[in-house]
Amino acid sequence: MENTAFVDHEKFFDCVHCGLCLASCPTYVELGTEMDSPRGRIVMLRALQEGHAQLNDEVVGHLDLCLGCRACETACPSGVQYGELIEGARPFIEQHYRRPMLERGKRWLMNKTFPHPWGARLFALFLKVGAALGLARFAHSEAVPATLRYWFGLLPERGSVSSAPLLEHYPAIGEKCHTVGVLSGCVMSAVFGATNQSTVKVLRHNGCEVLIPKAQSCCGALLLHNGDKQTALALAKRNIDVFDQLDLDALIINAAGCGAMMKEYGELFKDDPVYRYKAARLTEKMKDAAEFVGSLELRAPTREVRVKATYHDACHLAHGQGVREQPRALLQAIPGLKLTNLPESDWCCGSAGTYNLTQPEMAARLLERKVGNIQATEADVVATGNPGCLMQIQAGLRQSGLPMKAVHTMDLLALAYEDEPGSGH
Amino acid sequence: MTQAAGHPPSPQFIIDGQAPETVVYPASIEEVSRLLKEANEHGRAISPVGHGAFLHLGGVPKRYEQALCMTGLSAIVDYQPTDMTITVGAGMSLAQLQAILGENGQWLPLDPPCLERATVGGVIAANLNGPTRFSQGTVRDFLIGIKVVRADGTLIKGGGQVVKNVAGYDLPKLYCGSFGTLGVIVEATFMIRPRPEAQTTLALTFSSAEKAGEAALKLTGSDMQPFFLELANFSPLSSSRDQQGDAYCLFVGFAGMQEEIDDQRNHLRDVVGDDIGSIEELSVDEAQTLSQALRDFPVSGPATLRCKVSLQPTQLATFCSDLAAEARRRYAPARLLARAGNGILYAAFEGDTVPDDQILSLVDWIRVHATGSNGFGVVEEISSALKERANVWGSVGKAFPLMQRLKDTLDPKGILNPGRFVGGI
Amino acid sequence: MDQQVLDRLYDIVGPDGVVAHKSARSVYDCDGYTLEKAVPEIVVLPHSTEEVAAVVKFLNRERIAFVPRGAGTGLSGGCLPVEAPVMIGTSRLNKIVHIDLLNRYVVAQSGVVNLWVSNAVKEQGLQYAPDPSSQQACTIGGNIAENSGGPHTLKYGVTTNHVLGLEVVLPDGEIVTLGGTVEDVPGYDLRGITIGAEGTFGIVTQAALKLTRQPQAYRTFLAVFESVHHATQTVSGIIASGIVPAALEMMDTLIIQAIEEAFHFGFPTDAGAVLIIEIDGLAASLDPQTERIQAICKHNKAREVRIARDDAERMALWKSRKRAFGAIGRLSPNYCTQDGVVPRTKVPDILQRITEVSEKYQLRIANVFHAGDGNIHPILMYDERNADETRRVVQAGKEILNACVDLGGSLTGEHGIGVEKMGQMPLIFSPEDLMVMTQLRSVFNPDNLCNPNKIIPTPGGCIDVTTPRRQVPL
Repeated sequence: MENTAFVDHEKFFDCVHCGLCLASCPTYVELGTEMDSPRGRIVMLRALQEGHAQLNDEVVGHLDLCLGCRACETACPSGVQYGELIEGARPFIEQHYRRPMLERGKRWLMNKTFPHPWGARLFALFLKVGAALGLARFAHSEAVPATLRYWFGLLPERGSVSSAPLLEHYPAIGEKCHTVGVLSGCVMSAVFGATNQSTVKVLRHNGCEVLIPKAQSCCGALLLHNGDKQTALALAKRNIDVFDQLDLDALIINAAGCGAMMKEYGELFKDDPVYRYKAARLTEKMKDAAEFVGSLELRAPTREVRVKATYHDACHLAHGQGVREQPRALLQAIPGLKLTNLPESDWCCGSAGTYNLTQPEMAARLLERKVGNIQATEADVVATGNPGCLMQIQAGLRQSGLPMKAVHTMDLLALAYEDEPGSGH
Repeated sequence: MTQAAGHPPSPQFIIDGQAPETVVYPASIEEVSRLLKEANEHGRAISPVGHGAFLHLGGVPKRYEQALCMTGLSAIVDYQPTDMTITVGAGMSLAQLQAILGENGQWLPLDPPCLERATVGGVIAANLNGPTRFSQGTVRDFLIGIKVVRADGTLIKGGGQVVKNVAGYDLPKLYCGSFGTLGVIVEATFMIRPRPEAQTTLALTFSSAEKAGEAALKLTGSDMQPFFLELANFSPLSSSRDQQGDAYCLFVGFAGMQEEIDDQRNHLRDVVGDDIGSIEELSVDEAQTLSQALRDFPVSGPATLRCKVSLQPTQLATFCSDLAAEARRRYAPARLLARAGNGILYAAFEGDTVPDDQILSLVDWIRVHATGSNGFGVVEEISSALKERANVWGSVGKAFPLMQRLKDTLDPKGILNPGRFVGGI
Repeated sequence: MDQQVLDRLYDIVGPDGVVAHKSARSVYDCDGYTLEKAVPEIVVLPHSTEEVAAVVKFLNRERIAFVPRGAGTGLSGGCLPVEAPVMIGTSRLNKIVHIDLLNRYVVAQSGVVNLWVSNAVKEQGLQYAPDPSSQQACTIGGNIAENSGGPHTLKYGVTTNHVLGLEVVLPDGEIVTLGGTVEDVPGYDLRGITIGAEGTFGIVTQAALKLTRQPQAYRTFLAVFESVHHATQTVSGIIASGIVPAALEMMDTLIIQAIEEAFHFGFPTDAGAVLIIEIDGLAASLDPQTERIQAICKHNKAREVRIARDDAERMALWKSRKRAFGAIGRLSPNYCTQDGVVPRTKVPDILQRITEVSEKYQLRIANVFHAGDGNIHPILMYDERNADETRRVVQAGKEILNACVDLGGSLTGEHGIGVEKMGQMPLIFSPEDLMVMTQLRSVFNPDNLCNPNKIIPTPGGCIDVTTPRRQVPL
C-alpha cells in the first residue's frame, strides 16, 4: 500500500475528540457543519493519513475551507498542534489531488507571485494601478465577474499605497540598548512600506539599532499554506543564513503571518543536521514587533493621538504566537488615545494569508461579521498587527461605507513619537 | 394501622365538604404499598393527607373514598450533617424537620405556611414555599431523592442520596407539584444548607405600588442579596385594618454573616433611592412576627377568594394597583402580598356579601391580565360550589395531552386524588 | 438511505441543511465518548423550530428513528446514532432570541453555546450560572439533555435549577412549551423531567434560562496539604463551619505533577494534595470567611494557603484546573476518566478504594475532582497498544463505579448514562424503577423513535464494554 503518512502520527493521538474547539472555529460557527470544525477536520486528516479515506472533492473542500487561524489551538485543552496537522496535509493534497483547472491556475499564480520580491512588486503594482484607476469602485458592479469584484474590493484607495525604500542600517535614537534585525516582508514592503518605516521609528525611539539586510527573503508562509513545502524551506534557509550571521538581540517581525511561520523554523529544521542549531538559535530571537516593544521598558511617547481605537487580534499573533496583551498595552500607552474593546476580537477577519483569494465567499462572510463588530465599537481606527488583516478589514470598512480606518499598531505608536529631524519622519 | 371506620372522620380529612368512607393510617412503606394495591384492585379513590392544612387547594374530588393519613411515616431515615443531606419519611412535619436540622445549625431552606402542619410529602406534592424562595429556591431545588408508591402499590425511587446525580430520569422533579395524583410520596432526601448566622428585616413604605415595585427592581438589579423581598399593600405589623390609601410596603430581609448584613443594611438607602416614605429596621420580636405573617399569608385570615398569580417581576406593581382597584370596585377589598423578586403574587379578597358572579369575574380579570403576558393565575381558595366554574388551575395549554398521558400511565384507574388537579386529572 | 426520504428531507431543510456525503457524515460518528462509534446515514441541520418539527413529523410518519446532537461534547455517547439512521443537529439554531435584564432571563435557541449566554449579559453584571468545563463549546440544548453541572454547582446548582421553560419538538412533531418564562406554571413539571432525559423525550429547540447576578467579589485559595486525608478533612471542616463555597476542587500528587510539568503554575510537586477553594458573594462577607477557611486549613496541617491576588491569578488557577486533563497526556499516551459520586463524607473511603484498585490492577490513577459535591473523576492511565493494560483499565473503571454505589453514591454526577453506563443502571435501580422510567419515556416517545437505545438497558441489549473510552478532558 502507498505510504500516506504526512505528519508524525503520534500527533493525532493528542486529540481526544472532546469538541472544545468547535465554537472557536469561525467556519464551524458560520456553517454549523462539523466537517468544517477542527475536530471534524482532524477526523478526516487522520483517516487520510491512515489510508482509510480517499481524497475527494468533499474532503478537500472542507480542508481547503480551513482558515488556518489556529483559534482552535488556543481553545484546545489537550495541546493538539492543529496547525501542524493541517499544514502537513496541504502538500499531501497538492501532490495527490487534482483540483479543477481554474483553481490550479489561481494557486500556481499565487505561489509564484508572493514569495518573490518581483512578484510582490507585481502585486503592489496591481494594487497601485488598481487604486490609481479607482477600480475599487467596480467592486460592486454587476458588469465585473464575481472573482474580480472581490479582488477589486481589496484594492486600497487612491494614493494610499506607499513603499518608501528602507535603508540597511538605522542607528538608535538616544541611548542604544539593543541591536535588532527587521524582516521587511513581501507584502509589507510592497504595500505597507510606511508601516515598516513606523516599526523602525518605534524601535529606534526605544534604543534599538536596526539592521535590515537586503539579502533577506520571503518567510515562506504563503508557500507552505498552499502546499509548496520545498520552496518554503529553501526561503527559510536563506533567511536563517542572512540573519544568523548578524549579532542580533532580536529579530523583529511586524507581520503576524510571517512571525508565526518563522517561529516554527526551529521545528521545521529539527531533523536537518546543518540547520537545526542555527534555526533553533534564531527562532529564540524572533519577536513580533509589539511583543518585543511591549517587553521593553517603554520610552514614553510624547505626542497626543486623540482617537478612539479598538484592537483586532490577528490570528497569527493571538493564536499563533500568543501575543494578546502587549499590543493593547502599547496602544494604551499612547497619550490621548482611548482604547475600546472589540467584541470577538480574536475572530478571524477572513483574510488568512491568501484565503480571501482562494475562498472569497467564506472570507466575505467573516469580513461582514468583523465589520459589524467594529462598527458597534464606534471607534475611529481599528489597530491590528498583520498586513492581510489590514487589507481585508480596510476593504470591508470601505465597502460598508464606514469612515473607520484599519491601521497597524506600529503606525499608531509611531505617530506618538517625535519625528527625528532630517530623518524624513 | 387503624381504620377509623364507623366514626365520623375528623375535619382534618374533609375535602370540599366530602368526607372519606374510611381513613387509614399506614405506619410503614409496606403498608402504604399494600393499601394502594388493594385500593387499585377495587378502584377505590384515595387521597393522601397529612395534617389537612392545605386541603382547600385544588379542584373538587370526583370521588373520595379513602383518606391515606401519612403522618405515621415520620421517621428520620438517614441524616449525615457533614454530607448536608437528610432522608425522612413523608409524614414528618416541616417544623419537626427544621428542629432536627437546627440542632446542627442547618435547615431545609423552605418556609412554607403552617410549618407545624405542613408535611414533607405535602410540601413536595403541593410545591409549597415561602418568602425565602427568592434567595433559596423552591422544593425542587433541594429534593435530591424520592421514594414513591405507585397507584398499583409498586415502590419506586428516583434520584439518590448524593447532591449531584444524573443517573436516570429526574423523578424527584416530576413529583414536585404533582398534587398526589401520580403516586404517594413516602420518603424524601433533601440537600440541606447551613442556617444563616444572623438575620435582620427592614420595612420600607412607599406612596404607591409603582414606587415600591421600582425599589424592588433596583434591589434585585444591584449587588444586594436579600434573603427575602416582599411587597404588600398592607402591613402585618400594624393592627389597624384600614388601609392607608395606596400605600405599599416592601419588607427586605438580609441574612448570613453579620458583616454582610451590616454592609447591606448600610447601603440599602443608596440602592432604593429617596422616593421612599419611611425605612425602619425591625426589632427581633417584630421581625419574627412579620416573617410568620408573611409565610402564613396564603392560608391566614378569612377570604372569599384567594389566588396565586405568577408574573414577570416587572409586571407586579402595576398588576397590584390595577387589581386592588378592580377589587374595590367589586367591594371585595384585596390584601396583596408579592414575592417581589420572583413575580409571585398572593391575593386574598374579603367581603362576605360579594355576589358569585363578581368573584368569578375577578378570577377572569386576573387570568386575562396574567396570561396576556405569559403569566398564570391559580385559584387557591374559593367556595366549593364555585370551584368548577372558576376552573381553579386554569388552562395549561398544549402540554395538557402529555400530562393526561402521564396520569393515565402512572395511575391508569384514576384512583389518586381524582379530579383535583389540572384539567380534571 | 431511501432516495424518497432524502428528497423529502432536502425539501424541508434545503440543500445546505443536509449532510449526506459519506466522508462528511463520518465526522458525526461519536461525541466525546469515543469508545463506540456509528455513522449516521444522514445528518439534518434544520434552521428553525418549524423545520425541526417538519423533519420529526415526517420521520415519525415514516417510522424512522432519529437522534439529536448539539456540539457533540457529551461524555457518555448520548448522541450516538444506535439504530437511528437520522441525526438532527441543532448547530443552526444558534440565536439568542430575547434578553430580559430586569426580569433576569434569556430566551436562547438550543444550539447556542453555553458561554455565549453569559457573554451576552456580562457587561450588565449578570451570568448564566451553570459552567460545565466544556462551556466554551457545549450547547444549551446539550446542557438541558444532560442536566450539566460544573465546578460551581456546589453553590449554584446544575442546569435544571436555572431553566424556566422549554420549547420542545415532541417525537411526533408537535411543538410544545414546557414551563414558561414565569416561575410557577400550573400542571406537572414536565420541564423538570425533560431536563436530564438525555434527548429521549424530544428535541429541545429553545429555552428560557434564568440569569444570576455576578458575585460582587471572589476569593480563590490554593491550599497545599501533605496528604489527601488532610485535604478531605479540610473539605468537611469548611462545610461544617457553615460556609457554602462556590467551588471546592481537589487534586492529588499525580495530577499536580502533570499540571506543573505542563503549565508551570508553581504547584509544589511533592504535595500530597491541593485544594482549590473559591468563595464568592458580597465583598463584606469574604474577609470573615477567609479567616475561617485559613484557620480550618491550618488546623488540618496545610503546608501553605495561597490567595489569588488578582483576577489574572484567579483565572490562571482555574485554567490549570480546567486543563488538568489535557496535562495528563504528558504522563501517559492514553487515559480514561470516570465520573462517579459518593456522599461527601465518603470521599476518603472512595479514594482509599481507588488506591486499592490502582494496586490491584497495576495502573496509575490520578484524581482531580469536585470534592464539595463528592463527584469524583479518577483518571486511569494506560497505553492502548498494550492490550492487557487496556483490559485492566476497563475492569478497574467498573470496580470504582461499583465502589461508589456501595458507598451510597451514584453512577454519574454529570456525564450522563448515555450508552456508556446503561449496563450498570441495575446497580442503582430496581426493575420497578427502570420500568417506570420506560413508561415515562413512552409518555413522550411512545414509539421510541427519538434517541433509542439510551439510558434504560433493554434485556440482553447491553453492549459489553471491553476497551476503555479514550481520554476525556473536562
